[in-house]
Amino acid sequence: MIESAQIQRAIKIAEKRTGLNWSVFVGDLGADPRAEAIERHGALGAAAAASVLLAVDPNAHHLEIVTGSRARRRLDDRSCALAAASMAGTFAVRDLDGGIARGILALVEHVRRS
Amino acid sequence: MVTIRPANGRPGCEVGSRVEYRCAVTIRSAKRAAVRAGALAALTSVPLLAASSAFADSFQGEDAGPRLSVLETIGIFVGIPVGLFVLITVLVLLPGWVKGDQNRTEIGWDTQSAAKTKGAEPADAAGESEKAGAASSGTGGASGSW
Repeated sequence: MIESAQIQRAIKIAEKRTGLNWSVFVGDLGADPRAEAIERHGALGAAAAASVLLAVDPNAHHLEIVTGSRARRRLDDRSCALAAASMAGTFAVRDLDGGIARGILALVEHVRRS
Repeated sequence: MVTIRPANGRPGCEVGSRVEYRCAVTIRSAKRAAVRAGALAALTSVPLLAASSAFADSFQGEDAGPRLSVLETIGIFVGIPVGLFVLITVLVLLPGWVKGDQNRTEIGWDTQSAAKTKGAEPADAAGESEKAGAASSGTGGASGSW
């Protein structure tokens, strides 16, 4: 459970504005962070197709954004890359919560209407 | 041409006749203009009058036909122009309706029609996200490090 009010608020805004499911994972992503993130995204089950997962590994200084097949149609990878760069920049100044929240809001800005 | 002169300007003018002019009017040029205008009017109107009188009596070889009803009149003078307007408008807009908005399609706003025309999803970002696309079915996203 995420305790940061900042992130919760961002997720609430994101779900209201886009209708997609937004998930945040902060923790160890292992040796292959991308595979791990996709696995966690897949674990969301039926909702995965319309889900966006932000996975952050603070110890490995790595982050992953995973979009489901349906979510990807509205949120292209270029926008994700942009948000990832923005988040990485914020994490670099040791603001984990702020980086995640701002990353979510940056992604929301790029989600197209369905 | 009417030129106005002072009353005592020229001898022999109609000063002191029944019409009292404050100033002398030389009528000669005005008269000439009137004659010219009359001649012109007569010349132009005579053929017209002759023609109209000829048409009025014998309307040879043509039949005016029965009168148009109100509906027919509206149909001809309103219906046909409006119909042509609609027809031309449809012809102009038809290609756009058939093909869809190319601009929106190219940008990727219309994903369905984009898939129809291109047979693919909107373009992926290069670089970081490439490794993501192939990994699992249809997922996308991006990675980052700091």
